[in-house]
Amino acid sequence: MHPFWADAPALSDIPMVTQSDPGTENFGIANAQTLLWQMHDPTLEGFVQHRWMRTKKNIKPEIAWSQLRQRFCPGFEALLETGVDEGWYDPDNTLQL
Amino acid sequence: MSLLACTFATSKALISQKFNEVRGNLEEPWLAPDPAASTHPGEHPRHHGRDAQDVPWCWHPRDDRVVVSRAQYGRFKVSNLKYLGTQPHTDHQLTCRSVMREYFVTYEPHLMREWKANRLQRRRFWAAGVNDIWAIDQHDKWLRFGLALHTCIEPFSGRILWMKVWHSNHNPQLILSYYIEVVEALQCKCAI
Repeated sequence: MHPFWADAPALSDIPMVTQSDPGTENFGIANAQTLLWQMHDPTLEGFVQHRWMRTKKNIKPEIAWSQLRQRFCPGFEALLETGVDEGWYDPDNTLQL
Repeated sequence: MSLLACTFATSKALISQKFNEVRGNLEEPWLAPDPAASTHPGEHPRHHGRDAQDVPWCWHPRDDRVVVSRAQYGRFKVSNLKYLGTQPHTDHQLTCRSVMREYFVTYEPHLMREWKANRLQRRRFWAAGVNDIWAIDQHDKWLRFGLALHTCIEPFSGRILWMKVWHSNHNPQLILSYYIEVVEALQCKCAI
């Protein structure tokens, strides 16, 4: 665990803001985050507590994915590929997911 | 610049030499490159009439990327890709360093100048502290396996709050459920 996190007193709060790239799939979080903040601080009425980052501006998660791609994916993808090639796993079959 | 060109020429010679070496050691002849991945290598103007058997890689039909067929990708990954000066994590379609250089000279000369003068404008990420920001993102590269990934990161501490895999990552309610789950797990005062 990172030292910052170990000592953090603020651990038991929801974040100040959430951020994501623009997309409908993130509306749920944006609305929930905004709603929760407005419940506890009425002065925030009318302000969205979510940041819509333009493409490629949501840097930190992109870094995480990049790391995943480089460190984890090559081997694991090969495994999945083997499964698909041998016919053990069919990505289109929802029962197998 | 001429020195650079010379280096590229050498590296290209090295590649073909290496390919031929490996090829000599194999019992079976080269498989033709993936038909899905490229056009027929012989037809492409840059192949100068060589047929598919001769080229374990071929040029991408639309731009200047090099396409290595899937069958050969594993064999070349370690020893040969470094000669191409490439990024191995972009699947099978690799960009020559010379092509990248050409692109930057054409479209982003100012960045090129800054880079050469060692004066790149670095940007710095800033967060007030823990729990200031939760950054959320989805990852679609595994959709071809039917797997949709989703993550949330607390950038200040670097903690991964969740990294989920499901057959979808486009349903707002599903994403919201990830969020709520973590909020509950952390026993957030605000949410009670």
